[in-house]
Amino acid sequence: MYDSPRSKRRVLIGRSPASNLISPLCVGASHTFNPGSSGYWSFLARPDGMTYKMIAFYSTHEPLGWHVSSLHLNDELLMHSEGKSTVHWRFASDRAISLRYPDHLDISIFNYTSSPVLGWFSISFWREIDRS
Amino acid sequence: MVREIIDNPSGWSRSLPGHSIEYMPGFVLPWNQSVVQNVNAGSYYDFTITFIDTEHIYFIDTIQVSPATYTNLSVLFNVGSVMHGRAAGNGVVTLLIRDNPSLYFIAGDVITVRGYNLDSSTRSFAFLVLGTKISRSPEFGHSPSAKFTLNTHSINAGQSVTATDASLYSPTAWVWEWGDGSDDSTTQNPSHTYNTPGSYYPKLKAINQYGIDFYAEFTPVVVS
Repeated sequence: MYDSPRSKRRVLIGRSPASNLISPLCVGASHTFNPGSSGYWSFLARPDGMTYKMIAFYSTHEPLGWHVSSLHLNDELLMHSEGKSTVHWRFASDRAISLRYPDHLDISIFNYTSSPVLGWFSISFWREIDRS
Repeated sequence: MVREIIDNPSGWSRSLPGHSIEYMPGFVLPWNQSVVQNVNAGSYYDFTITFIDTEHIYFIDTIQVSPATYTNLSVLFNVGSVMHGRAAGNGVVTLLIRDNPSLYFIAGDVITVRGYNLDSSTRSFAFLVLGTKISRSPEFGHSPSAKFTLNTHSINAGQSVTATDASLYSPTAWVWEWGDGSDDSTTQNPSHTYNTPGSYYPKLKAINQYGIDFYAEFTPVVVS
């Protein structure tokens, strides 16, 4: 694979503006779950005048076992799953869930197995300057 | 086989988030990096990619780690030191990354794909990172990632707080809004005196040649 001279002439028309391109944000945690135990995390959008758009949620365990993951936005259930697979919720970028201060996002994960497991989750956002 | 993309009849484009960013449809070129590596039982291998190309903006679409023989594995994707995804499974593990349009990479950025072998035997793992890239104009770079710390969050009226800038990507100007109606500060590590009791959220606007970013802490400054 290489870039032809022709392709270099054709790409990226227009200037990069002094911009709204903000570094993405990722939050997450790991936790050792005892058999039948759960973990709970709550995230609050920062009071920085920006809009946080949630784009992906991963949740997994090692070893991978039956677990329950649920996500609440301002106490309303957003997602819930039970299963033995890695949970990977993806939101199309044009329909990403938006958060602004004081919105809060709650994550609860329950280890359904009879063994201790190491659980992980991460949530990816991008941020936009709010001009409203 | 090497194939050259010579036209863009389908109008592929990659757009970047934001209200005023408009890239005309242009060439989107594929790129990939891969490695095959033996990983000991219970151990891991870090597949690190350092972007050195100054002429393109890189996006990652898919990360795939597959053992040569069916086994349990776990995959962790880090951007710098920040985890952006982790998955586990039996056999191949795939992380879909293209959902986040603000996750792009330019020269100097480093990513790591860590593959854990959860099996009791050494396994051969194939690491594959697939993505697309577009040309990077000279004016394009990382805007700051604003952050600061305060020396205290609890003071009496008439006392001051001192903020310390901790922003990434080298801001060259700073605007501090203190939330009490006073004038903004524009030094990197300012102090500010609050004269009226209340709760205030100081906010930092960090600026460099490529853009701006804002940051405010969750915890307010409480003035008694």
